[in-house]
Amino acid sequence: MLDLIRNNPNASAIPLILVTTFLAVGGQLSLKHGMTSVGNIPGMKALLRSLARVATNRWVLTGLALYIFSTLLWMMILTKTPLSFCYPFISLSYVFVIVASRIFFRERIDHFKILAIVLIVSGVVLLSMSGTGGHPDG
Amino acid sequence: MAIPWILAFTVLVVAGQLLLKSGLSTFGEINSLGVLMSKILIIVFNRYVFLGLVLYVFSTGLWLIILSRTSLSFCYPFISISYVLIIITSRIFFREIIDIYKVFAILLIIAGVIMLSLSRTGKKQHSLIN
Repeated sequence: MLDLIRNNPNASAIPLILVTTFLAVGGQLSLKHGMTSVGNIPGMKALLRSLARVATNRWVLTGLALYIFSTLLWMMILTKTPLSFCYPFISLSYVFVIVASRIFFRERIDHFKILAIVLIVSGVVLLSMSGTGGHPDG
Repeated sequence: MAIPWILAFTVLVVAGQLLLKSGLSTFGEINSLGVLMSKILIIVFNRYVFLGLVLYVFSTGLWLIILSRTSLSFCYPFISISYVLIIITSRIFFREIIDIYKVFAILLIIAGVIMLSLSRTGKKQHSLIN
């Protein structure tokens, strides 16, 4: 496994991919924390009504900034690294979000959630094994 | 019930991606930030790209609503449904191939999301750092 990573020409992209994943997850945590403090928003009209409060919440703003920044980094990575190499790292974000939600927000993680993550991560890893497209070089 | 909202969000995200992809593919390869910047106005006001960006903003609003109502560990993994929608719609609109790996990936992700919807821990919980 380690040899596989060491001999892979894309391996040099791993630190940047991991940083991007962390930034994306950090963005979601920040958005979540911000929206929790804003309070329950039942719909689009309500969102527009409380837009001033949402748009000035520093957690929401930080979250949006991280969201945009990680998306830009992600696009940059995708231009240099085949999608099939990146996919397994994307699936890490699901694991990170579950763990972080437990630690920071004390969310309850039941067996359904754990099983769901195992299935989803397996599915995303399987996607990376598909030979059809995803590779920017064709 | 947050699940219909989350599903609407993923449909919007995927529709936005498809529009962006259709719009951007008319510009040929954009291989540097410089090229992107020199064409930025024509790109942004391409009707597909523009509509795609509008959907992107709209879907972000929807996501904020969802976050205000559910726990993160519940709503976040639902995003993986967008891969399933992307694979199916790419087949329909861009004639991309679906191989056996993608079929099993779709099945696993759908099974995961169904499992998630069975979890009773979706309701908003109090934040620790409040």
